[in-house]
Amino acid sequence: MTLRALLCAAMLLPMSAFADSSLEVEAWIPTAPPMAMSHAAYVTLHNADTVPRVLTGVSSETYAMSHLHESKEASGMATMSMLHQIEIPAGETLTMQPGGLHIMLMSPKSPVAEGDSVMLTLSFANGETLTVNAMVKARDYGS
Amino acid sequence: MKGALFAITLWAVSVSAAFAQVQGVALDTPEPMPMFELVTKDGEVFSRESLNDHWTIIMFGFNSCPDVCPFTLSNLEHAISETALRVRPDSVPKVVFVSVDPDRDAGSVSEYAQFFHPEFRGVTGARDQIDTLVEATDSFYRLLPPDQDGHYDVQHSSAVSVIGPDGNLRAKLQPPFDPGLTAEFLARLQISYRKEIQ
Repeated sequence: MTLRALLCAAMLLPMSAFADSSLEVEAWIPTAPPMAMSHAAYVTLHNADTVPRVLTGVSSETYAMSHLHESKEASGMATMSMLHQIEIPAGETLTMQPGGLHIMLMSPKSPVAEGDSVMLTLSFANGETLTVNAMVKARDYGS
Repeated sequence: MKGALFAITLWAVSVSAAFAQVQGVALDTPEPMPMFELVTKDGEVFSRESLNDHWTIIMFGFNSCPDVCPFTLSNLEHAISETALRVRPDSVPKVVFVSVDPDRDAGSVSEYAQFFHPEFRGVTGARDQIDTLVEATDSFYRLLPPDQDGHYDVQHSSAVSVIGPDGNLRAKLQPPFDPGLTAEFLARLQISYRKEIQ
């Protein structure tokens, strides 16, 4: 097969096929009030590889802006900060959850409602990208 | 801060699961709420008088908060539902979400709060009136400088304030607001209150 044929074949595959299959990912977005201009997404990412992976960014066509974020509580004060990277050691799982690591999604371009699926593209330091469909669903207690 | 002056009693209610703890702090000396008046865009008023004759839980936050505020409101919804199973209907606390970001939230804070429960109230108002309530509940917040897009974050207290039917600040609750333990704390607080006023 020529190089051109290989490239053509690769272009027909979904985006996630570019990512290494050693990454397993799930994501969800809690339903938010319709007027909320900021949403959160929570991703669980297992690195089954033998080398660390470094998550460096996230994007979504559904939102104007997306950032890796962390909420913290210090001395009774809730604070948030933007993260430029999150390392996932080999064999370990990054678990984002409410009140901690999360993806901040700002300014939805269209309404996001329960039952929707929002595509997120995760970027890694080694140039990989990984797409994941985040399900929009209601919260239970503690989530 | 005034908080340093509060004589407090820590009710450590622990269960086997270490993560499921309520951190409730009941004030030995309840603090009267001062006069304040928050007027929503449609003219609805939340004031010192609004606290009379029922229990109130006040939470500070802002609508553009992606993570902590909706998480807290959702957890409070579960906690209040659990409380409703344990106390008389007229003793179920009314939850009030006070936005400390009136410039962005004045028009939407009421609907924002009701998304989490139809009886949750969302209010905001003049800065000096917000600050009066923040200080009186030993809370705090800070608007951070805007970025190049004009977006700014807000830091705020993670604890919520419990006000008694006499309009006095009687307790503070810290997250994560486990429903059962929060309900237990509130029920005990109400028993103490009834003994106190007899």
